[in-house]
Amino acid sequence: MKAKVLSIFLLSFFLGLSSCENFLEEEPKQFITTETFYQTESDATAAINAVYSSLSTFGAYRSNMLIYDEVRSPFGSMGPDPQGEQGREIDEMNVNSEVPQLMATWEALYEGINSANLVLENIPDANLNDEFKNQILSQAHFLRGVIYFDLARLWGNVPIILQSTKGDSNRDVTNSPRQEVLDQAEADLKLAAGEGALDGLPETWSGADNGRAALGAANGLLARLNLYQGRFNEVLNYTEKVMQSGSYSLFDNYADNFATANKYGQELVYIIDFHNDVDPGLGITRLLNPRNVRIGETNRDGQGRYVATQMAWDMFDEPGDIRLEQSFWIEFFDNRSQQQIVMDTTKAPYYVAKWKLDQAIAPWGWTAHAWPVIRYADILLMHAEAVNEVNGPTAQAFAAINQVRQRARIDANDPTHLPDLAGLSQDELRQEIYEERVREFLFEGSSFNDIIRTNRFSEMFPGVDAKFQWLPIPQRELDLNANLNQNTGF
Amino acid sequence: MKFRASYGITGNQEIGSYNSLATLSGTRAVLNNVLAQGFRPNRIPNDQLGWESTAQFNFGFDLSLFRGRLQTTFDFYNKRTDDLLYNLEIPRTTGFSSILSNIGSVQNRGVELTVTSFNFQKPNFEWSTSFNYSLNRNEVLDLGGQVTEFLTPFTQVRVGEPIGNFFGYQSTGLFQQGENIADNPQPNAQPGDRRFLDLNEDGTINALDRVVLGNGLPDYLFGINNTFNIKNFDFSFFFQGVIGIDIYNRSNRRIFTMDGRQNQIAAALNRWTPQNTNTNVPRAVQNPSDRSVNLNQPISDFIEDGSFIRLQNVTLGYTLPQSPLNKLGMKKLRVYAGAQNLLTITDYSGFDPEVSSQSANSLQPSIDEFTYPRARTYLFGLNLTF
Repeated sequence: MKAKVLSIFLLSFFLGLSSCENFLEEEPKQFITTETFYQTESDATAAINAVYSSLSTFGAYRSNMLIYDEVRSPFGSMGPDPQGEQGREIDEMNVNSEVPQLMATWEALYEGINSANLVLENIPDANLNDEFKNQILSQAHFLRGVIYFDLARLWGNVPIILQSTKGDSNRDVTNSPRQEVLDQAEADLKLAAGEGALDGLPETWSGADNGRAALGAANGLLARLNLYQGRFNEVLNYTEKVMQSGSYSLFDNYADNFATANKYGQELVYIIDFHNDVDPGLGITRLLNPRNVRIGETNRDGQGRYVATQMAWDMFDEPGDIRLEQSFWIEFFDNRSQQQIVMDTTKAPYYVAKWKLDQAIAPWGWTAHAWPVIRYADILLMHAEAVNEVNGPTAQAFAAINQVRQRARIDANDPTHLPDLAGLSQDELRQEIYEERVREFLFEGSSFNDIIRTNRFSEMFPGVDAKFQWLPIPQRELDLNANLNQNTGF
Repeated sequence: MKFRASYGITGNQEIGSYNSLATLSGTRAVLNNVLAQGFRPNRIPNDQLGWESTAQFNFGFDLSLFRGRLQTTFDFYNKRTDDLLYNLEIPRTTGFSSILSNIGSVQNRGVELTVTSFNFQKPNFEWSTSFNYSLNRNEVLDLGGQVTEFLTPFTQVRVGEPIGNFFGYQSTGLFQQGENIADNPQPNAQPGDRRFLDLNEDGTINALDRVVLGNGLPDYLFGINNTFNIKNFDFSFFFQGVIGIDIYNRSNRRIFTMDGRQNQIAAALNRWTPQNTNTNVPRAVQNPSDRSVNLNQPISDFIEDGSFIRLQNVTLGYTLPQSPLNKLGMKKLRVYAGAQNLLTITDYSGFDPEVSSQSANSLQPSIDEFTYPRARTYLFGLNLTF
C-alpha cells in the first residue's frame, strides 16, 4: 500500500515537472487564425482583397455613398419609390445620429481600416519577395488613404486608427481634427504613390489583377485631396503626373464610361468593382431606373428610388450635349402598363440613365458596373481648375476643359454643339468648370463634395444649418465610447 | 420541520472552442470581373477570457403541519455571478461589433415558496391545492471598473440597476392643431405626430433625451394548482401568473408605422385625424420625419404591461370501475380530456405575453419581435394498464 502511494506521488511529481508552458497550448488546425496567417503570397493577397471588399459594401460605395454624395446635393433627391425610405433624412437635410445608413458606412470604413492595418503590420515581416511586399503594402496604404479621405469628407473629425485592434484597443479612441484626418489620408496616398519608403503602386495592372488600384489612382486621389484643400499647385503637380503617364485618356464615347465591358478601360482611373451574379453586385441600375422598367431577364423592375432634380436638368443648357441623353431617361417602356412612356421634361423627377443594363445579371438585379471614383475627365477638369486658380485663364486651362467638352458633342463638326471655351475671365472660367463638372459627373459622387470644397454650402442650401455639411457620428458609437464627441450641433 | 442551508460556487464555460483566438472569415472582392477571395479576422483575440462563476448561498425550511395536511417549502437565495460571459458590444472603430468578454458582476436575490394543502381526504372526495410563489431581484454590481453603463440595442445595463431596462424615447402624447409647434423641440412636427420628452430641456430631441421606459423582468411569479378526485372522476386545473413585467412590443414597433407600406393592426383605425384628436395613435403619413422613423429605437408607446394570469392546464379524467376491466385482462383504464393554454387574462396587446425573441441574450429579456404565440392544445387520452 505504502509503495503504491509513493509511486503515485512520484509519478505525479514527474508529470508535474514535464508539463512545461506549452503543454496545454494547442495550435488549431481546422481553421485559420491571425497567428498562422500572413505567411504566403496567397495569404497576403487574400488579406489585401479583404480591404477592397470593405469599399464594395452597401455601407460604402455599393449604395450609401450615392446618398451622401448625390442624393444629399441639390442635384439629386429621393424618388417616387414608396418602398425606398433609405436616406430621406439625409436628402432632406434632417439627418440625426440614429439614421441607420450612417452606422453601415462607419462600420464598413473602420472595418476596412482594421483590415488595412493588419496588412501593414503583418506583411513587412513575412517571408515574401520585396517587390510583391511593396505591391501589397502600397495597396494597403492606398485603400487606407481612400478611407480616411472618405471619413474626412463625410464626417470631418473622426478617430485616426493606425494599429490593428487587439484586446480592448481602439475602443476608447477620440476624434482627431479634420485636418489631421486629411493629412493621414495624404500620407497614406503618398506612400502608395511611391513618395516615401515604398516604391508605390505599379503603373498599370493586367489580367487577374484588373481592378486593383494603380499609380494613376493614387496620383488622381492626391490631386482630389489637394483640390478639396485649395492647394492648387499640388493639384497641378498630381494631375500632370496622371496626364503625362500616358496610361489614361478619354473614351471616344461618353457612354463607354458606364458600360460593363469597359470598366478596366483607359478613362477609368480608379473604380470600385462589382459583379453581376453574386454579392457584391452594384444595385444602382435598379435603384435609378424608372419604376416599372424591367431589369433585363430578371423579375425585377426599376425602383426610381433616387432621381435627379430640376436643378440638375437645368444644368444641361447648352445645345448639342450628348451627356443629356446619357444622363436622363427621356423615353422608356413601362412594364406594368405595357406602354412606351415619354418623360415630361419640364418637371422633376428626372430618372438617371447612366448605368443602363448591358449584360445578363442575377435575379435580384445587381449589375457588374463599376462605380467610377475617378475618371480621366476628372483629371482634366481638376487640371483646368488648378491652372485657372494658379495662372489664370490660360490656353492650358481652356485646352483641358475643351477636351472634355469636345468629347461630349453630339456632332463633333457642328460648331454650335458645346463650342470651345475661350476668352473668359478667371471668375467666368471658374464658374464654367463648376457647371461642367455637374454635367460631366452627375450622380457619380462629386455633386455634394464640389459644393462643400468650394464653400458654397449656404449658397446652394439657403436657410439650412451649416452643421449639415457634415454627417453626425452614429449614436451607437457615442453610446459605447465616452471619448468620442459628436459633431457640433447634432 | 427541517432546515437547510447551502453554499457553493459553480462555473459556466459557455465559451466555444478557440473563441479566445482571432479566426478569419472570407470576404468577396471583385477583380478582373471575377470574385477574388479575401480574408479578415472575424473576432478580436481575447487572451483574458475565462470562466464565469456563480457563488450561491441558499437557506430554506420545510414545514409540515396538521399531520401533513399543510406542507410548506420555503427557500431564500442570494446568487452572485462574477466574470459574466457576454458578447459585449464595442465601438465599430475597432473594426468589430462585439467581443466575448467577462464583463462584470450581477446579483440575484429571491425567495421561493411552495404551499401544498390537502383540503379534503375522504374516500370518495379528495381535494388538494398547491400554491407556489417566487420573487427575484436582480442588480448589476459591477461592469469591470471604469465602465458604469452600456447599451444593448434595446436596453441599458447600468451598475446599481437591474438587467432588462428598456431604454429609449418617452412619448408624451400627440401634437394638436392650433399648438405653437415651431417653438418646440420638434419644429418640423405636424399635428398628429408624436411629441417626445425633452429630458434635458436643451430645445432639441436627441440621444441625450433617452430614458428607462420599463423593465423586462417580472416583480413576481405565482402558480395555483387544484386537484379533485370525486369517486372515479379526477379534475385538475393550474393557473400561472407573471406580475409586474414590461414587454417591448417590437412587432408593433416595426409594423404599426402607418406609412402606407404594410398592413396595419386594427388600432390604426383610431389614428389621429383632424376629426379624431382624442387618441394616442399618431396620424398616418407616408414620410414621417420624426424619431418614430428609426424602427430600431424603442419608444414608450410600444412598452406595454406584460403581466398575465393564464389558465395553463385543465384536465378531467374518468377511471373505469375495476370489475368489468378484470374480465378483459386490464388492470386500469382511464379516459381523460384536457386543455392547455385555455385562457389568458392580460392587458398586453400582442399575441402572447409569454415572449422572448432574444432568448439567447439575457440582457434583453421580454422583447416581442414576431414571437410565435404558444399554441392552445386540446388533449383526449386513454391510459391503459395491463
